[in-house]
Amino acid sequence: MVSLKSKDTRCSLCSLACFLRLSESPHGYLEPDYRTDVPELRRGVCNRGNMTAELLAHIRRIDAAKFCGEETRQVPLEEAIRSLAGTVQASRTTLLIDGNLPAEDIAAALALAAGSHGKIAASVYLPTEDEMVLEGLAASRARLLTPENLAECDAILIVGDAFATHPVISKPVHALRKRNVRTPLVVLDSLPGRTSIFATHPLLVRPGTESRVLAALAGKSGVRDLGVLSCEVGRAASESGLPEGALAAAAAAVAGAKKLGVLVRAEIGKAANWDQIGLLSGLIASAKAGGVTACLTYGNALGAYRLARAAGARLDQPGETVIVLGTDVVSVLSRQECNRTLDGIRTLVAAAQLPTLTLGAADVVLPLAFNFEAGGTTVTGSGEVITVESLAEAPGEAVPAGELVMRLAHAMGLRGVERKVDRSVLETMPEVDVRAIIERGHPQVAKAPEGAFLAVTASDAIHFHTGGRTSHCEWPKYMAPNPVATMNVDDAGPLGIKSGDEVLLVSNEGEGRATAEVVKTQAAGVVAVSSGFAEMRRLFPWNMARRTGPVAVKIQKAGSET
Amino acid sequence: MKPETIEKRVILDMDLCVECRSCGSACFYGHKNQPIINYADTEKVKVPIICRQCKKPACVDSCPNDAMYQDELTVSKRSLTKCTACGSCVRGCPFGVLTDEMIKHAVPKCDLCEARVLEGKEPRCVQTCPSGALSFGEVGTVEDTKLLLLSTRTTGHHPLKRR
Repeated sequence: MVSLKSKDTRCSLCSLACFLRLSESPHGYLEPDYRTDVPELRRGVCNRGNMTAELLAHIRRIDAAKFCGEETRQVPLEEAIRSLAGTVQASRTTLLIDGNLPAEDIAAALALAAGSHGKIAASVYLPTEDEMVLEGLAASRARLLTPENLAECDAILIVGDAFATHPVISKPVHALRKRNVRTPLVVLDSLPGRTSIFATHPLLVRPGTESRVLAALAGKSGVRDLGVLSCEVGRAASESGLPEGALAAAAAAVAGAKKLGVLVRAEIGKAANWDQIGLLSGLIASAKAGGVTACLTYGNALGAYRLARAAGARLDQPGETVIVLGTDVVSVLSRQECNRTLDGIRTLVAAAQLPTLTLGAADVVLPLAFNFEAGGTTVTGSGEVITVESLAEAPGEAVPAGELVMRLAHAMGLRGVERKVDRSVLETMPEVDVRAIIERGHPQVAKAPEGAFLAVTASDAIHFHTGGRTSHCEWPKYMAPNPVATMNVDDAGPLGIKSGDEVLLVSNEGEGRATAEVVKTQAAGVVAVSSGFAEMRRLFPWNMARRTGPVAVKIQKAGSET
Repeated sequence: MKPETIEKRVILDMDLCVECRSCGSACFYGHKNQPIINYADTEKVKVPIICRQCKKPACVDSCPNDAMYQDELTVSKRSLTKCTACGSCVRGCPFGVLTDEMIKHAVPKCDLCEARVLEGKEPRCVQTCPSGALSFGEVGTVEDTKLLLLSTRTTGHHPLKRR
């Protein structure tokens, strides 16, 4: 039974940080409740936020430290930390910190690395798409918009399927269009998602050509000095597969805005150049006296990005000992990448709240508190620095990541490592070189060879990924138990694939099985796979080297393999 | 003071629904993992199917075990202990709201979150709705909003087309 210290908090499961309330039911269980004392635009909680209560009281919570070998042995946390301190002092160690942890925890881990005299290298893990889009936005120096700011704009440009992954952000857009039903809503996406159905100007482009279209919109909006990224409307239309008239009309709508609001939702399997997309989005918004709201996967992505950049933290070659604080690296990286990385590691230490694929490979498991329990500071995708209150005590010996780091520092005899953060770092965008992003030019247009399809990831409102915390909850397991591969009816017919069939998808990176969904609305030659499942992520070059974007896959009905 | 009847119903504005299925998750968790809200897939849109709480409910009339009943506030509910999951209500409901997927040997059924409504709150599905598509109001008030009313509970300027 979880005893609540407080009822009101902010959700930490994505960058919108929605207002959340929990209550204790008369029957003795926790349940989500909803705040009506916050502005109308901030009310409501998506299906992930609704899982908070279930997460806090989850039966599979990790509440004690374990040594995992031939026999798994539960040990007191202090003993595990002492043993870990000895290992760290005797070997080269990499500390991989999840960017979704509160800023205080990230700052403590970075301070430990800085004070370790080179023994520990620290890296902050962010989903590649989040990191890249933030890099682009930082380079653009664009203003970040709150939902209230968005509702004051007179035109909206959305890149990606923001309503699918961040449903609460639809509220300011709806409010704006309620005030003026003719408000232009330009949606740029490579799939017909849940956002594009609301668009006045839906721009459904060939996968990976988003930056060309944005460059065309930027040119018409008065953005200059784009160098090799410059792209005329005619060329952008031809390369992205759009009718020239449709793109010209959308460009006119954007150019005609007095205050433009831009929403960016990055997805790694849709484009390879989210930094360029972030940059162009920011430049267009600034040219039209508006700003950008970043719809990021990680709740504290912006805070983590700012802290990591200020500390110069990066991952080079992992050390012999790797301490993973919160990240499920095995689930988020491709299988090949993981095997390569794990092969060189002698000791893997993983701290987590619930079982993950990484924990299965770990030598030492440490119990970790949820952000809802730890409390701390987070930066939203609108740039608001907020404090998340601690709702409840963490179970057993589970503690915040910063506390684990402080105890490790103490055991190593290091002083000055505290769970504290410099707020000014969280409020400042780092300097990023615009030229370096521009000079790369647009990526080549991805094409699938004969007999293959171009696979892109489709946003999923239910799962963020297989090893994610919410995947332990009952609702995703009921609603979306398996990954889905959506394809066009004309593509599926010759392969004998019908809706509901199990299909096998094979790329150069890996293979996975999914349930087929055959529709008329999907572009021919493109297959959309659920982004929330590790088996679908394995199809993509999903790693820390930023080789991302659509991939060629071969598809066949499962059971017909030869 | 306890009202004589609950006149308000859950109303869906299709102009605003982003198909996030948050209503389903809130309802699922609040009703001990029962999938009470279902989603009709029309390919163009996935419409949440939420019980209309009919004044003369066919699910109640068709139940051979008196498991489906209308309480004193006119909310149609299902008694967990009496339901034998025979499926009569599933076939009786003219709107396809009830599912024949048996959960814990019973048919999941919306109870309009009656306990919450009596406390002055709104049903879970309405309060969680991130896009503002669901509201809790009296059906007669829909006419004032200039929205089309589609089969008594679904509204919108053009309910199946949103641009």
